[in-house]
Amino acid sequence: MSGGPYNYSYIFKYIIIGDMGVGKSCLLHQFTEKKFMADCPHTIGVEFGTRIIEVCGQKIKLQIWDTAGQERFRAVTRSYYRGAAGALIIYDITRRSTYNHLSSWLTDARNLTNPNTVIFLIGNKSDLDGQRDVTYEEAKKFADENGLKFVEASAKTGENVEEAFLETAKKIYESIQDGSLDLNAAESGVQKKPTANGARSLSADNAEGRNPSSCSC
Amino acid sequence: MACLYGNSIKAHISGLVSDVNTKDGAIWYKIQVEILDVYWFVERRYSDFEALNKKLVDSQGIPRDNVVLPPKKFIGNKDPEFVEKRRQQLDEYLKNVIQLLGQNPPEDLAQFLNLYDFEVIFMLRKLASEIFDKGEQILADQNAFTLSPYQIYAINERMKMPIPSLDSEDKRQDFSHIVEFCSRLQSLNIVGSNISLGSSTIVPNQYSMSLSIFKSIKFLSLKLINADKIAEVGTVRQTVERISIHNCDFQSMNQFLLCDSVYKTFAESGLSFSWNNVVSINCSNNTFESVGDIGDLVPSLRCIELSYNKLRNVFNLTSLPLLERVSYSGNVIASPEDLHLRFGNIVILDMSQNIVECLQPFYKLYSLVLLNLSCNKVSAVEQVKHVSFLPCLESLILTGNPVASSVDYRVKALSYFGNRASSLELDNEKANSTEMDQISIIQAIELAKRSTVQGKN
Repeated sequence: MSGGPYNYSYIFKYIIIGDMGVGKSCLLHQFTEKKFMADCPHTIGVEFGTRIIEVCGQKIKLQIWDTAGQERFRAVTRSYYRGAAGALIIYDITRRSTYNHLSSWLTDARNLTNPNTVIFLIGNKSDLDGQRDVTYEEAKKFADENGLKFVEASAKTGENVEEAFLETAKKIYESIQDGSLDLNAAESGVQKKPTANGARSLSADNAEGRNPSSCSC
Repeated sequence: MACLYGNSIKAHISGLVSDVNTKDGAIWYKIQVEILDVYWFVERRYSDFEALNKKLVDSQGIPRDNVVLPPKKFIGNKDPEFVEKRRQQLDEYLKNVIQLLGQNPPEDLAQFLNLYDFEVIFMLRKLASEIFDKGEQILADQNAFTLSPYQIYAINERMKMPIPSLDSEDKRQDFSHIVEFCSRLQSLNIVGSNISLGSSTIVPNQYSMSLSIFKSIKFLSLKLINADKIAEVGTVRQTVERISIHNCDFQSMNQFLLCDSVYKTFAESGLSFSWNNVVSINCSNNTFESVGDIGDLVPSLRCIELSYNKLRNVFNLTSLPLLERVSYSGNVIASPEDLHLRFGNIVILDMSQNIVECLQPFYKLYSLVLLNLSCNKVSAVEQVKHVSFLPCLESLILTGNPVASSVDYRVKALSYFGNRASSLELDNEKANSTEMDQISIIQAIELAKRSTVQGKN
């Protein structure tokens, strides 16, 4: 299965959601380009980013859909929830309103994604601790109550950005390993790389994917 | 645009079995498929209908009340009366199938109606699975990928549609694959056309494009593109290094460089419209009548190819500090003005196939190493004297000029270069020993003449 130009084994699809101006595009940009994008324009509809990461020795290509926070694009962005393996919900720790809206984002995510979608909560702008409006403890409690992973991160300094994206991938990979995520399901958000001859043999791939491997994570 | 979803719910397919067409003895039915303002034709036989029906029976629970395929007939099935009756029956059948399944056509129906060639969603599904299979190889080899304006338009529109990126069972058809590929692609060819696509009424060049999905383009090539159809350049403006434009209808370079600006000059549009990383532009074979004030728009430009346009003048490129190579070959330049006021320190200048008679304008291009003036109208060998003082000149090409067929042309021309005569290449050839002897004689005579004149003074 190795060789050829395919330097990855799986594709995971992510979606990034949250209120306008919380820094969704900046987090994505920090993750894909390792740079902070100042003066980031408002996202129109959806944007896209990609990066190959390594989880438990497996190369994984992330296809990340970055959505517009503005209400008027909600119809378009909602359609991208389906088929996401990971959903990152972002709020801004310096603006309580963005935190207060989390439950509606979470409802959307729960209703529109599949039950295996890994949902990760990120409190962005942790570099602006002086202007903090939402405490870590409060958000952590919310995350725990709702069974979400949670970190505070900063798209500006890069703190915890890498971790959030990688943690999510790790959890997805674990559910592939333990068989709870069905690769064949159209909406799993996970896909194997093409086979050498380009033929479709998803079922064969899946059998291999389900093998409990010597993953140490 | 042919699109089943998107901005208008009125979009529907109306398959009409019109004309009956006989070819190779068999009866073909011509189907007109319409979506919004676009239509195309598909030709199918009764057996194709039969095959479609069989698949739909398996997958879609047909036959239903009114969706029944007219039965097979073995004898007399080419009788005109019968064919007409069957045409009506099949027309009815197809209309009913489409009424039932046309909102979200299954794969078999989509194939039957050629949706994969023309309809945005299906076309992009097909493209996505091609890219899923071959994309990584193309990116790894850094090969170019070709798209038409209609495809790019379709991708742009698809981004705005409230439809999941994966809307079929086959994950290879996920729209994410296209967007990911476009965001990583380095070399893009956009090939337009003013002729309609296949049997459809879709003319690719009617559709305007936004290039904002392309995030890593280094080489951009445009062929047969309409000047007013690039609506947005996006990050391509920052990433692109080489541009080539051929057979497009741009009138000037500026028209392209500022295609997405409401302003038509750099002074008005400002720094944000600069193409900072462009080092090479090839716009041969267009209809440029002017270059425009491109200097500040492409500050890193090293090489510009302007051959085979309709240029009458040499344009001012002095604001390009790094410019080294310029080609104006195959234009209609007659008598350029002083060229050192038009270029900075250029090294290679190709002005072949113009109508230049006089070399005087070249006399101060001190950095010039290669000057190609083949196939112009230079007739007097004395003209060579004007370029003989260029200190860096190593090669001069004058083939195809009237002067090149005059008596003792090489010897006379080279003799103007003094003691550099032996190192200079004239028409890609250095002087041979016979020529060198003759040149020395001519130079000696010249010297003698001069000293006599001086002596007399």
